[in-house]
Amino acid sequence: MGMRQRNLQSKLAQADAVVKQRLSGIPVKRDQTEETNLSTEDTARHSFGPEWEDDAREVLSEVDFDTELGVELARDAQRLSQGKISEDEFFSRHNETVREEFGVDARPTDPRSSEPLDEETVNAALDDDVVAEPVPTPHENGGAIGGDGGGGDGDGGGSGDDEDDGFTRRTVLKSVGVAAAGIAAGTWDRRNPGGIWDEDRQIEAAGPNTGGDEPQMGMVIDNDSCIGGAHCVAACSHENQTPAGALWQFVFQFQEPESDTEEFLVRPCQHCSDPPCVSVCPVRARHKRESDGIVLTDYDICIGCRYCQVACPYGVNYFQWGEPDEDMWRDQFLANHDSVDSREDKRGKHVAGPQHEKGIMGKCVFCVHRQDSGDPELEGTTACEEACPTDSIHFGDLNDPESDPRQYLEEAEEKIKEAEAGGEASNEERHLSRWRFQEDRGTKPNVIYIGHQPSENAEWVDEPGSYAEYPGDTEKVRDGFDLAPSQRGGGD
Amino acid sequence: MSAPDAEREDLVRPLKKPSKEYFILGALSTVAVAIFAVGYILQLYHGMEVTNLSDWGSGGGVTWGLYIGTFIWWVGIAHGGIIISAAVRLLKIEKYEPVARIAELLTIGALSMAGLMIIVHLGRPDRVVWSVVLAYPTTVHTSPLAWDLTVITLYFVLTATYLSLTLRSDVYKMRDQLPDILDPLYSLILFRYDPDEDPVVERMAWWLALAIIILAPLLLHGGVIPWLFALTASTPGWFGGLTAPQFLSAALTSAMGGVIVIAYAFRKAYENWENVIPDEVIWGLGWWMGIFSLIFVWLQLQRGLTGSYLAPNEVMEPTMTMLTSPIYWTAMLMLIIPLAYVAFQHFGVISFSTPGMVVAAIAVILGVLVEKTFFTIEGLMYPATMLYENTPGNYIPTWIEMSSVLGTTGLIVLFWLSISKIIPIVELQAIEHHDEHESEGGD
Repeated sequence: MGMRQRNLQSKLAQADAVVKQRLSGIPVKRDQTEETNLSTEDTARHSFGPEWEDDAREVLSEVDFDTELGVELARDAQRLSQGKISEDEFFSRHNETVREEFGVDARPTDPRSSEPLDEETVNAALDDDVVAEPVPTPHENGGAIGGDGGGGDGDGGGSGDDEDDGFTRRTVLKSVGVAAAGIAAGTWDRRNPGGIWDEDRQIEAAGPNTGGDEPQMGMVIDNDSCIGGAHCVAACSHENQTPAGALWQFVFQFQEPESDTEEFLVRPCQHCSDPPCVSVCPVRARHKRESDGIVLTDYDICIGCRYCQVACPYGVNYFQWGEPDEDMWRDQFLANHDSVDSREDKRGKHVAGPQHEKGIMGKCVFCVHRQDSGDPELEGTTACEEACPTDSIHFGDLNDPESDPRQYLEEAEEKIKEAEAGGEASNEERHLSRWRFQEDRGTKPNVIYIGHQPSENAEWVDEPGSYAEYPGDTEKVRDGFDLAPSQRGGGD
Repeated sequence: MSAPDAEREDLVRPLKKPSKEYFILGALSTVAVAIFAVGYILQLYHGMEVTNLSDWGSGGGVTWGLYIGTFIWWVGIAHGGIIISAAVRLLKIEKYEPVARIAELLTIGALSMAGLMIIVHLGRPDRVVWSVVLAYPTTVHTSPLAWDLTVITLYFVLTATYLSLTLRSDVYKMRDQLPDILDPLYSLILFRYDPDEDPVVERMAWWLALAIIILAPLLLHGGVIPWLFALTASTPGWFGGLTAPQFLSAALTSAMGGVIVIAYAFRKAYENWENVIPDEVIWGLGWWMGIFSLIFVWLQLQRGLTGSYLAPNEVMEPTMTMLTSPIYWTAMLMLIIPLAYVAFQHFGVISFSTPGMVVAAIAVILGVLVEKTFFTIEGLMYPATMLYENTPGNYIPTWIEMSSVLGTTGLIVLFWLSISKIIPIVELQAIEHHDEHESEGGD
């Protein structure tokens, strides 16, 4: 009984800590002793008996990969879930063997900093003839070992012709990884019901969201220094000649329920590494450009189903509802650009500039025309970044430690640490931290914020339309706000 | 007791010379379709701004609205229809054989309307074929909309195969009673027909029915269609495991209602059809309509309770809006009252009435339309990102949007008016079995 009570108490304490963390945005250190306490109970229930092992061996012997490795991985996943070994140990223990066997270890070796490997790296390491497809999440592939293994043809000698018996190296790799993850998930990690490394990723919000050396353009935005002037909104509107009401760049002004401080949140498209808008697009118009990770819309392919807008948790998509004024658009666009051809990117795809045709979707393109301009003055810049009077927006390659955003991030890191250590008054109230917007949606956004992270109770305090009071080129912005749907529709 | 020949005569009666009422109904439907056509042409000309849809987020609106609600509605009726027909064939439920083909035809008609609603909803319908086809090998891995197009096509093919297979023997046996003017069509239907194929066709239809019954909860209205919504975590009002069962139960409810309405219309229109589709069939369909609406209402209760007791804010918000919305309660009452009506009939509190059942069926069908549209809008009005909450915005469909409901309904009526002049909408087998029952009863 005493044990049970203690468990209950520590669970409550943990829940309390999690709630506090959610409310404050500040990571909470977990109590190691309590953790061990929790994890060592009812070991027996999860231990795998000889029967399980026999089954596992039978299944694994049907594939031409190392049976022992599979069994060991599964055992260690079990130990991990019981708290006998740490996550770090688990991931580092078999790293060498997994690499030897599969040529690559897609499991994060350090859960605090790693992300799953990007697709190219995994593909390159695998057979060339295997069709490239996204590495699935465990949900997509649950029970793959049981299902596939049962259908084996008994050719256990490892003929090397993977395709014939329904296996590819990839599917096996998936299966082993999934089996391990599945076992771990099945037995539950009490410290972190969200998954083995989710919470750590939350804490360690910064850093690129893709692996590999490929550039991933992104932004570091210091909301703490933002004054809400909406210069970025106006500049973006002007530069990209977006339709009225389409605010590719946007600034929230919000407040916490118990606070007098008005906070800002600058919201461009997050150019996610796992963008739901790309996944759901039925025509591949929405895509992620391989060379720099910018998420774009091919205006020539889009059918206007608006599913990207539905799936995006950030509300960054804007549909072209009516016929834009072509002449006005052309004149204004040419005032800023050499020719209307600059609407095409370096691949010749029509992705830049305004979505000037009715019935298609548009959103922030990280000023792709600038990135492809060949002009060193423009490359690596965006209109919003340039216009920001407080230098709050830092655009660049998040995978490059020398890039402006990464450099700024390092400086900001100091600021955050100092604030934390010194108990600076402003930070106590406002919980200055580094975070990504709605990261729990699993989108792996590539905009990193510094400042106060809005709690789920935060409220937008700005009256729409009042941006007109701010200096700058606000005409366009005001037009946008005036175009609430209640006023817009009606037939003509 | 009537001879089988006389009953065969009943089956072909709708194929004879049309009545005055036929033309009036045809004219009214044409007007409805014309209104929709004008609206759609305006939409093509001006763009989607003729709707009251808008961007969610800083635009403050909903990006999917009545068009998508109507799409779910039609696709639900279609999927429910094919499930009814497949169940009849698979389990050989002779009692419901008179409505098996009606359910199949309802599926074909309603599925076409669902497809049409997708086209109407698109900003660039001109691109749909090439854009979708070219990208299909990639998108089918990830896009629920690509899955959706796949299953709609699959089910259209399954249903059409089904119908054309089972139609052959009937057309063969009744050919001399069918209108001569359509002879070329009947020759096509009977292409290389051999009476010996009947048992084979029966087996094939059985396997098709099995496939449909297995796939229904996995891919149809218990799968891909609700997954369009249930998989988007950014809209808590849609997200979750209850969405699919809710869709499926609503689909079956509205399909039962659809079959009741159509069966009743034919009974009213043609002499002696109350013997072709007897009261007991209407009664039984009504009973199943009640069962499925009970399941639907029960699932709504689950969603309402879990979403409003101690739910996270983002779930609480849409649930509370749902529970306090008069539109939602209107929809629920349109399901609950017919449910009570069916129950009272069953327990003998009130006596059975066919017109009463038809009114209940119409209420249920419209209730599902309202509920599905409300579901679509509400999800987008309350996204997980609550920072946009203060953006002004509302959604009331424009007349053009509303005309899509009218127009597609008109098209369905025209479809029935036409198809009933081309093929017998009740199978010969149904009245033969029916007849056997009669004689057994007589003994």
